[in-house]
Amino acid sequence: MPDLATASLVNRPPRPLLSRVAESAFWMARYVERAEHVARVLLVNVTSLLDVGDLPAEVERQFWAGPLRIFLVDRMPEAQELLASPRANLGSRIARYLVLDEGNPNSIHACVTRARENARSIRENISAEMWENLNTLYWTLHDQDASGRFDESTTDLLKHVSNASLLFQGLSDQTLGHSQSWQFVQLGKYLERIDVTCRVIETKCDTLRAVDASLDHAERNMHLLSVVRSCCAVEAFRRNAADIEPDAIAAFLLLERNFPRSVCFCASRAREAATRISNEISPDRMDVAEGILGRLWADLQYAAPAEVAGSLLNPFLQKIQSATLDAAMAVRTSYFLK
Amino acid sequence: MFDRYTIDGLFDEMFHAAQAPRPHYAPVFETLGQIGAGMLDRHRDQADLSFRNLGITFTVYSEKSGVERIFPFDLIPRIIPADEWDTIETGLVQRIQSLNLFCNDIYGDQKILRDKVIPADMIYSARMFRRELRGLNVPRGVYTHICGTDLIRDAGGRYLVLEDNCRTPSGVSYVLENRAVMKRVFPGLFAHYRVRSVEDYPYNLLQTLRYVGQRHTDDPTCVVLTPGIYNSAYFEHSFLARQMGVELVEGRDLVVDNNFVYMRTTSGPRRVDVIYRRIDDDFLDPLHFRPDSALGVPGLMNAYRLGNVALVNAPGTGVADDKAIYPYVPQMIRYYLKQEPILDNVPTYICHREEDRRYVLENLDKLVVKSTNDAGGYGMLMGHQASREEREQFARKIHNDPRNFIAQPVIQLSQHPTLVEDANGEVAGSSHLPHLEGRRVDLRPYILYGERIVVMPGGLTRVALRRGSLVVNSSQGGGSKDTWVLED
Repeated sequence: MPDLATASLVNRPPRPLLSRVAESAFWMARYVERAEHVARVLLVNVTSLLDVGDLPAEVERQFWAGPLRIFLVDRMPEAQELLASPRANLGSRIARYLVLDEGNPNSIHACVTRARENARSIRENISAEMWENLNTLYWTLHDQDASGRFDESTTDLLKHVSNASLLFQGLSDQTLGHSQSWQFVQLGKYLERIDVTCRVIETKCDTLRAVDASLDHAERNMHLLSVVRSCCAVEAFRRNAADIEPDAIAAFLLLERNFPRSVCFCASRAREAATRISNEISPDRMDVAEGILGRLWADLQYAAPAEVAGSLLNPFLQKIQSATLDAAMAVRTSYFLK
Repeated sequence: MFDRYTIDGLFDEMFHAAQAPRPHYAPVFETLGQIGAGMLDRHRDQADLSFRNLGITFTVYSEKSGVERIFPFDLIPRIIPADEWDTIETGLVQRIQSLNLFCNDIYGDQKILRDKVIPADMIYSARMFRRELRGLNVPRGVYTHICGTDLIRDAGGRYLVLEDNCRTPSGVSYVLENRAVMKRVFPGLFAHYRVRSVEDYPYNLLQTLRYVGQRHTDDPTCVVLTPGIYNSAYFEHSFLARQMGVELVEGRDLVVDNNFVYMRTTSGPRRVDVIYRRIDDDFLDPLHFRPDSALGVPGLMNAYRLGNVALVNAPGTGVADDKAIYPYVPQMIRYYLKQEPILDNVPTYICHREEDRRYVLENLDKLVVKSTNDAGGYGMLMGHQASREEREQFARKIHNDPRNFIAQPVIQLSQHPTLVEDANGEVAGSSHLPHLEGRRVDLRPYILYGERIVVMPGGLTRVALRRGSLVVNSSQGGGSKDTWVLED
């Protein structure tokens, strides 16, 4: 009879996780996710503006101000300067600022650098595959010919970044034990996705309202669809709704339960990660972040589309964003500062 | 490939005469001939790319904000026959035993001083001697758990010990990564040779750490303490933690409470039993050593004094690798072990001694002068290459602080065929094609002292990539090679 009583070599009780490692795992995932969003938003802008041909100068400027606003750098002096500059190559200069600029705190370059720095400080806690993938992406952007690659084909470079991020997520899921550190990766990824998605919806809807008068029907549809495209949701949305209307789009991106880029879905996953972490650490205590995310999820799950329509949209988005911020602060207090 | 290869009266690791390889190098010689320099160069580019993508890098301080560099790797392996290695290994074991007995003695009864084998003022003037640690019971009586001893070969091929690194020797991660690359690039060559494996080093290191921690508990919590990601050896710290499956911590992750050491985890403080620290003594504990250290852990030394945590290597062990104490190691071996040293030292002049100092000052142009506590090729004068001003500057330094300097005759290190591109314009036209030239090498084996002594077969062969250079340190343009110790 084999000895069944002694401590097993597998399924041991979870190892304690250093607070610093938890924090780095969280931020590593957030920055990778952010880099992917920058890439995707730019990709959509670059391609959709190609389709429409000549836009009035002011409209074009509005469309390019969008990405700067989504990634919270529109108030930076460099961004202001770009927006005030002559029209020639405006899009490509703004794209360059958002991809390669080292002084821009939310450029792809900066996000990948910080993601990689966090990963480097926790290499013993992530898989070699995750590290190699992220490190290779880092060197792609730090190479001397990164600028050349951008000039040669901006869309190829953006696709490369977005694919590298998706590969990184896949590798996290498939090569890292689904232990506590993985839960922090999930938490970081989904909180970031909620945050950016809200700002994409907010900014794009504002932009469309501002330029509505100067667009014809086809142009308007195309720009509306670009909101969905920025969230990787064209096919999913098309199968869901016949009308390309702002309300339908907002409702889909916020409330759809089964689409992995909807805010509802992300809130559900973020809450689940928070629950698992808190169950592992202190099963009897109600964790603050878990509570915030649980309520957010319930709100999104049971909200009627009418509650996010028209003028109700912006206040609703504000509420989600402040819940996300509160949840991140609570995670920090409960686990990172311990 | 070897058309323009010259030996120039040096000891060559591969050739005993022009175009005549030593027997144990014959398969390598043949394989290199088949591969050709161009292909070898492509292999090297691939190896470099994979080092970069895997993040196998070190940080260079002197450049702006610390730039990450790969450690240049040369694909031609350095090969050591079994019998040669046996002698080295026995010599190294003898050395680490003596160095540990010496530390125990110096921080204990100081018999070796009372018997006047080593002058007491040499010890008391040593910067790394920690008099406040005298009388402390160090866990398991081990001071130097991990030692990296630098060996060189002189023009006659004799192995000499250049220095013992008893504090935090680095480089072992490159040994393991180099081997992994070589197995990818030359699978065929490994079939020709029976090369002793180095892969169990992390396991042996963990066993060494656990041994010092197993005084109180069967399953001690061991961690690696790093100064952080900007440290030049950060890759290695992370690598070793990963290979051993233990946590890599920074000072800020640790906290001392009631003289026990804990790490901060998401579920609260967790007790730590053994710290493999890759931080110098001075930075370990701001309450005890440098108050401005942000890398250390306040209260750590008290926890250590009370035996509540083991530090590896032990604080105070630096006295054993002071370069002015090094000349006494052969005496230590005779004194403690009653044995004759198997590995010889390089003759060394101690500037602290008056007659030595006079000789050094009169012969600066023939000597290598080293400061007694610097490493990495810093604080060094190569007298025969230095300018007159540099020599005068060093003479003043020696005069002002003689205890801080030693001098040694210039040893013509052995050379090893190495792939180079730059022939310094010697052969016009074809000078940039990759080809093989002799470059100087040393060897740093790693010795572990736990329940038993384990010497890693081989170690890190460092190579001075600049023609004629005798300085192999990575901070001074050195690279590395895989080192193959052959089975019997």
